[in-house]
Amino acid sequence: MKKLLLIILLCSFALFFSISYSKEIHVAVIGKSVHPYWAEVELGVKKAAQDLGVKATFFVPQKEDIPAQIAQMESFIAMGVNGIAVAPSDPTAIAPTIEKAMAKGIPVITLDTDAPQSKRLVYIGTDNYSAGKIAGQVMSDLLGLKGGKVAIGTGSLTAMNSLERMRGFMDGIAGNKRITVVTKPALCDFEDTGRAVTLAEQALLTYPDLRGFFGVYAFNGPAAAKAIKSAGKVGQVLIVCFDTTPEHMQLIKEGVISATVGQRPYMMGYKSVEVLFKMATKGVDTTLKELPANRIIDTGVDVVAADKYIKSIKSVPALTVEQYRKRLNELGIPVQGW
Amino acid sequence: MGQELILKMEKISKAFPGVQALSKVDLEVYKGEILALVGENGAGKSTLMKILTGVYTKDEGKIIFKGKEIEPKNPHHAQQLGISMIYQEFNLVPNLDIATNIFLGNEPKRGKFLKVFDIKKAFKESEKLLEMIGLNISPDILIKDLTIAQQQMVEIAKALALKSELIIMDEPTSALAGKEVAKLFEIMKRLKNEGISIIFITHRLEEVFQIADRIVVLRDGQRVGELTCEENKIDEVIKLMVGRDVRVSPRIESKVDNVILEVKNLSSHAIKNINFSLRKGEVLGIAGLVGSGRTEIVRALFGADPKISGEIYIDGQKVEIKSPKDAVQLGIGLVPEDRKLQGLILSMALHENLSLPSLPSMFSNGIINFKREYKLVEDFVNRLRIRTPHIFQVVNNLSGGNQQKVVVAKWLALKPKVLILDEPTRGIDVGAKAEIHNLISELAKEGIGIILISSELPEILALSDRIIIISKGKITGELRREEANQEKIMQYAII
Amino acid sequence: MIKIKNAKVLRKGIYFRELNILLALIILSFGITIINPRFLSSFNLQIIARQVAIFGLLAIGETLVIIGGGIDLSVGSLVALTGVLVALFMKNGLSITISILIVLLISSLVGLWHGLFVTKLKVPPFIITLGTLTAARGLASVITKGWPIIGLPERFFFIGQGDIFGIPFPLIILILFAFIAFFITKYTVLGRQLYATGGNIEAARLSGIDVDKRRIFTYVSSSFLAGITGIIIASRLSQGQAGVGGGYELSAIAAAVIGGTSLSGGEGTILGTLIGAAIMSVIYNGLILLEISSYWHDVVMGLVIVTAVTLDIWRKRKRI
Repeated sequence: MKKLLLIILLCSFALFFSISYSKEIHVAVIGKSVHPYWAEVELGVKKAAQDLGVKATFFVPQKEDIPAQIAQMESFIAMGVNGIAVAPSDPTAIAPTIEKAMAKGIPVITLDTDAPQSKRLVYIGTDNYSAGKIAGQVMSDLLGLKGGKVAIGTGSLTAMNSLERMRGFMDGIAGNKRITVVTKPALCDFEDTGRAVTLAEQALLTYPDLRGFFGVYAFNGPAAAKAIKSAGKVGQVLIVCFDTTPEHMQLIKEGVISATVGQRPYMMGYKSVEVLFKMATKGVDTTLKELPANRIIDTGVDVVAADKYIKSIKSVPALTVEQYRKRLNELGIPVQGW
Repeated sequence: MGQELILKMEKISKAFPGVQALSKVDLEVYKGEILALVGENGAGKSTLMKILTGVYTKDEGKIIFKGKEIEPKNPHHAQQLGISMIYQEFNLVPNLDIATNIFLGNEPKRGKFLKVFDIKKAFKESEKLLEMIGLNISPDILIKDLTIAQQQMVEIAKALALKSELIIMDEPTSALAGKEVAKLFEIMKRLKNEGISIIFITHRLEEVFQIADRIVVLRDGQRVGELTCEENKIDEVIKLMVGRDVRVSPRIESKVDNVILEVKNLSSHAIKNINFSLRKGEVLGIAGLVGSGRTEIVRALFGADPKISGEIYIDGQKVEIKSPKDAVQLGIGLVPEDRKLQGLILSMALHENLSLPSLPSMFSNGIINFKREYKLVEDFVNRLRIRTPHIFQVVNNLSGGNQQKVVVAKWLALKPKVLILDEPTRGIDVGAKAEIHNLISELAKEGIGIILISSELPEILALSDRIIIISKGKITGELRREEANQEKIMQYAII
Repeated sequence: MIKIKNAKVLRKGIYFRELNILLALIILSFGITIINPRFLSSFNLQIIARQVAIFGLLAIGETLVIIGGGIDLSVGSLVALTGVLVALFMKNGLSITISILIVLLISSLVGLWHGLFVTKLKVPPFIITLGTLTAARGLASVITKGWPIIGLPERFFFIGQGDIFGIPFPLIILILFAFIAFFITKYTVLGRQLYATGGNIEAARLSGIDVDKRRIFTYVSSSFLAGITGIIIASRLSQGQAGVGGGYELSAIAAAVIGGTSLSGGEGTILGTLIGAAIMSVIYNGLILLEISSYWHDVVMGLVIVTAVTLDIWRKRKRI
């Protein structure tokens, strides 16, 4: 046991020194959890590292775990990397660590989730408010002049991304006076897929004349789809939701989900490395001057809609499944399962 | 003794579901008097005292204390009125010092706005109180470092700090040794001279006549008599308590047969190389001081404690007893010394406790036939005269003596070859005690081998065919019934 | 002489303590129906039935563990892990039956692991099952890397989604296991010994009961039922999902406690637990039917649990 420990210790020393003495630019990206979404971020990170010829380390904890993120970030600081991009599970808790890195001259940016109160230099990610607004506009277009009752399902009533998306959604549908949101404010399942299905089923029961369902988190869309299928209300209740997992794409093909708002995790990973690379080579100030004044880089979203509904969507550009597939192929993102 | 009345309880009644615990009980206490309240377990003593201290509310009756009618709402309220009770289980905080405990909930305060605990004053007052009851130790010692007797004195000091004029002591001597009892009585006399009245609850009738001025006897929730102590008639008190004559009859001799149990070189963490044998129909007494290893012998034999070495033979066959389960399967029963912690499952009903060890052998397919179970339980409830409204009563609601009978019955139901009784009569009233003594004789007569452990030497002497004496984990002597007496036993016990 | 006859009447009076909560359930359902009659629609009853099945199965296991004097915090995570595993096995070509059997074996082994730690190594049940709570969920995400495992055989979906004459199949599974557990606790020597073990472990041991085996039995039962629940949920969602089951252990404990199970051990009934699970499901259901703001849902649930426990303690004190 002791021997093993010693070997590990020696190896980590060797690794530590080899990293700190190499002249190669080394940037680090810290994600939130083991999830397909983060796998796509990693893909962007790897691609950018390859394109730019830098060394990029990608780390995610097993599940959302802020102490693990902080510990990992501290070890990156100790290694003396040239830049860190982090997606904080808790924006407030990460702030002191960000400050620590900045004090050591390591530039820090945030991706996916911002920590606006911290000293991070830039935020790269989806602007959840505008993404939510796009979803709202899509819903408004889909329901058209007839309007109707809409239910919202989410996994959290406290997380910023959920709140921002819902706020955006409300603003997005505001133009269509005939749409009313019946849930107060949303059915919350605490990120339990099973519960999400039950809640969606109950929403269908409680509001028999429901016409739309907005799924805030990735699993909310498919959960609503399941409920609508089993209630035999496909086509009667339209689903607008977030994310583009194989399950989403399958359901869009079937026409059960009308439209989904896809984030661009690949872009977040790619841009993070790119920005950090610029900061390391051209200097932080020069880089910042090239970026938007609010220091937010919105990676944007893709609206993917079922063929049947694509013509109704006029307020925002939308793609069919096939168009979306093509776009991903162009970026070199592997398409699996749909 | 001044004849000034301090407490008068008039026609107090209290019913619990299924039981009339008290019916129209009168009780009066005079200033500076020590009143002994006696009665069998379940006679209503505790209920009466709990009404007086506000734990229970009475159904009817009046309590007049110092000339005014009072309605104690809770123990704290009773204390404020000047009535304190010292329970068998002390209400002290082990990790705090004496002074803090004495003034717990009654702290002297210092400061005008932000009132803080005036520890200096508490210490000074505590010293005075401790001196008054003759306990010469510093008030900064922690409670956990005190002996049981000293802790009890702290409880008394606590009552005095509350300026109590009436102190109720529930079985204060049950945990004390001879010398300590004498000391306690001295304190009680001192309190009496200070004009404080004491209600003294005990099972030890000899003590009553040593210390009390007057005796009130309760039976089945009623006041059945009052005696002054000059009369000194223990027999009469017992008669009043149980409502009939009880004679601790010497055992009926039983035919002692061949050896059923043999123990060779039994050792465990607390005992060393114990050898003895037990015959069919024999009562083997095990005597010794508390902590000598008496209990540990039977625990190791029963498989409750791990053995270091030793061989056990039943009917000449060598057996392995690794757990109580093995012992039970071999026909050995153990009535442990602490019936509440080791003998009973207090949350369960009488019938469930009684049939517990018998279930596996009675219902070998694992499914309980309730009819057969109830029949078994009823047989034993009737045979042992367990007083209960019905066999489904939760055992926690039974009196101590009846609880003990349940523990004995649960082993008898198993038809054991060997029955071990560890302090079978501790803390139970005279009536139940006599019944248990008779039962032991009867069981021996039926051919069960009995091992009896008791701290009460007269009990051991009256019941045992043979006595082995333990000291420091070893057998130091063995006496036959004819040669045994208290002096000889004590000689071996203190080796 | 004590006679059985009158005693039997007494026994019923004392032992039918589930009556109170059954009344509460009926009043609750009645109240919701008045405000929103759709509560009694067959679609809604099916929703409730599926929910009761999940809470109920976990709560039965939890009740057994608590009666035996322990606690099992791992069931929620075990639901996630077993759901993921059953999907994984089927995805890798094992038949539905074999996959289910292997998963049930694995979940039982987890229970055995808990039982051995608690009895032989004297690790507090709170700690060892807390370890599994974290580890099992971690393992589920290691296996899935967050991707749901989809593309399972259609026939598998019957378990969670199918029904027989309109009765959801999960409810039938619940009734089956509830009956077994009810029988064990009420009519068998094993059941009686469980109560004894939880009521006073030392007295039970000295009565010749193999208390270690009894306690191990409770942990194995609880984990086994968590495995069943995991399979049902995987089937209901048509996928293995690492994210399900969060906090289910607390719902299961709450259902047991509402049903009159005492957390100090030795007390509790399966019937009570089932009613407790039904009450929880009906409340969750009613909150939405009555269009109550989501912000209040957990507040209401918390109040219900506190009220139930307080009433229970109060009733016990009155009984003395």
